[in-house]
Formats: sequence, C-alpha cells, structure tokens
Amino acid sequence: MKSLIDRYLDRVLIYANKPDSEAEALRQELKDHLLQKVDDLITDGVPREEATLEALRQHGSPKMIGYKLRDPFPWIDVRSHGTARGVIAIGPRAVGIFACGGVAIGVVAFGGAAVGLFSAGGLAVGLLAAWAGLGLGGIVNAGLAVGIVATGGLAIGLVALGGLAIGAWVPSFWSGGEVHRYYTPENVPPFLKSLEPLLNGCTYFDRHVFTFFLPMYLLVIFSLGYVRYREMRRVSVEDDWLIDG
Amino acid sequence: MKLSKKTLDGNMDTLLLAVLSDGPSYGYQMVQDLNAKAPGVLKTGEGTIYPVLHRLEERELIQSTWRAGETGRQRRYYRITAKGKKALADNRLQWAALQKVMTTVLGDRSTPGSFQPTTRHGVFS
Repeated sequence: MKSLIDRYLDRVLIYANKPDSEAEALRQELKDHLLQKVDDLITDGVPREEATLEALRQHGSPKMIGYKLRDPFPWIDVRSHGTARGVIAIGPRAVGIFACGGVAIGVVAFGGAAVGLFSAGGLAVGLLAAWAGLGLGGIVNAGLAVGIVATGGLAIGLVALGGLAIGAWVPSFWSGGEVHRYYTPENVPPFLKSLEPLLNGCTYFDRHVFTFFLPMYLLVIFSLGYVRYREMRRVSVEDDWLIDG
Repeated sequence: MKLSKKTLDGNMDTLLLAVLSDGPSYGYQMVQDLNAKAPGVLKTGEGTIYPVLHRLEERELIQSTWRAGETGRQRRYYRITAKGKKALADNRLQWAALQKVMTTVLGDRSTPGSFQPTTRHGVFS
C-alpha cells in the first residue's frame, strides 16, 4: 500500500502533468523535502503519523503546487479548475490563442462569455468578428448584435441588417423586418456604402448557419468539452486527496 | 504585518536568489533559511518554492545538480549563476529605489501606529 507521502506526490504530479522523466525527478525532489520535514518533526517530539500529516499540510495543496509546476504557456493547457493558459487553453477560465471555457479570452475564443479577435458563444465580444446570442464587435452575427457591421434578430450598428435593424445605414436592398436608418440612399456617405460587402459574409453566414457553421461550432465545442471531461476524469481518480481543497 | 500572496508571488524569485547568494542549497534548507529570516513568508505552502526554483533554472539564473545528502538520499542542490547574481543585483537596486520612493511619498504614515490625522490647518486635535 502506498504511503501518504506517495499518495500526496501522485496528486501533485497528476496536476503538474509532466513527462515521465521530469516527473520522476520532481517526485524525488519533493519526497526528499517531505521526508526531511518528517524527520525534523519527529526529532521535535511529534509522533510519526502526526509528523507526516503536518509535513504534508505545511507543504501545501497538491493542486496549487501541481498547477504552478506546469509550463507557463504550453501548447495545450487543459485544467479542471482555475485558469488555463496556453496556445490551446481549455478550462473553466481560458486564456490562449485558441481559448475555450466558461470565460474565454483569446485570438479565437469560444465560451459562455468569449472575448477575442474572433469569438463565439453566449456572450461574445469579437474585435473583428463575433457570433453569439449577444454579440458585440466589428462584424457581428447574433441574436442581439451590436457592432460596426451587425446582423441578427436585433441589429444595431453603423451598418445593420436584421429583424429589427437600427443603424446609421441599413442597405437599401434590405426589405425584411423593421428598419430605422439615419441616412437615406440619396445621402449615404460612401464609406458606409463601402462596408456593405461585409454584410454579404454575414448573410452568407446566416444562410448556411444550419448546414455548415452550426454543426462545425458544435463539433468544436463538443471536442473541447470532451478534452476537458477527460482531464476532469484524470484528476478525479478514486484517491481523492484529503487536503486538495 | 501579513504580506499578501500577491505581493509575495512577484518577489519570491528575488528572495530565493538572495538565499542562494549565500551558497548552494536545497529546497528544504532554503525553506528553513527563509522561515528563520522572515517567519510566515511561505504561509501558502513550503512546496510553492519548487515551481519558482524550476522557473529560475529555466531562465538560467540558477543551476541544479543531484548529489547524495547527509541522509544518503539523492538531493537536488541549487546554486546561483553569474546571470542570477546580476539579476539579484538589479533587483536589489530596484528595491532600494522603490523603497526610497515609497518612503518619500508615504513618509512616516507607512509605519503602522505613527499615523497622525491632520486637518488643512495643522495637526488634528
């Protein structure tokens, strides 16, 4: 049967997620620390069992230490708790080039709340593009869309198109829904007219959302969710550590 | 006065470099040294020094070697490198400058208990 110290170190290494060669050296280093601590406490008159528990308590939470031992910005960082940071980051909070999480911040961000150059999610802020229930950004396609170019159920933007479209300019070819526009076709500034082609992308998006974009989005979300689920399974092995809080 | 985790996190590498500037050491001994000089500084856990040590080693500010300790167990010893000494010297200068600025701006009020409330016209009475 494994000792308490070994069980503790197993937990640290699960969270640290290091290759085997590094993990072994790390285990040896931490174990030396803990055994030395136990020896010193015993010398001070503490019974062995209490000394072991006290050494582990003073060493700190395996989760905290393990996560801190991870590389600062790896290719893939998947976490069951806290903030994942990596080129591909998946976790409750995620920061990365591709970020997926409850709250995601990245160049490409997916999540309940997503912020990025390109973002998609329940609430998405995309500096260039956003696709969301509620979206804000440059080019936005959303239930409620607010952006420079906005399309959606309710679209508010410099150029807007939607069930209810409120904008400085709503293209004259748009005949669906209710329209509130500031400029008329006669006095619309050329730069607003020049934004119109961007709407083609949005309307293309709208037309193909159920045939292509939505399945792809769901595929990405489920794939990332599965990776996260596997990570949660990995860290929640049967040996739940008693001071893992 | 308790130091916040945030304050400590940003300065743990300087503390560890300072400990290693006294000579090669290993994790447990460094913890003992730190606790002797500043009790409670590792309140969040003694194990938290290892991520810092490993990052310092990645940045080549310290080097490590394995050799048998007095218990016979293999032990990882760290020593500061020339680059680490330079970084420590820079950090010391930064700290001295920051301390001077803070003392100048905060004055005596930075010391708990010495704060004396004043009005626009002088000492509050």
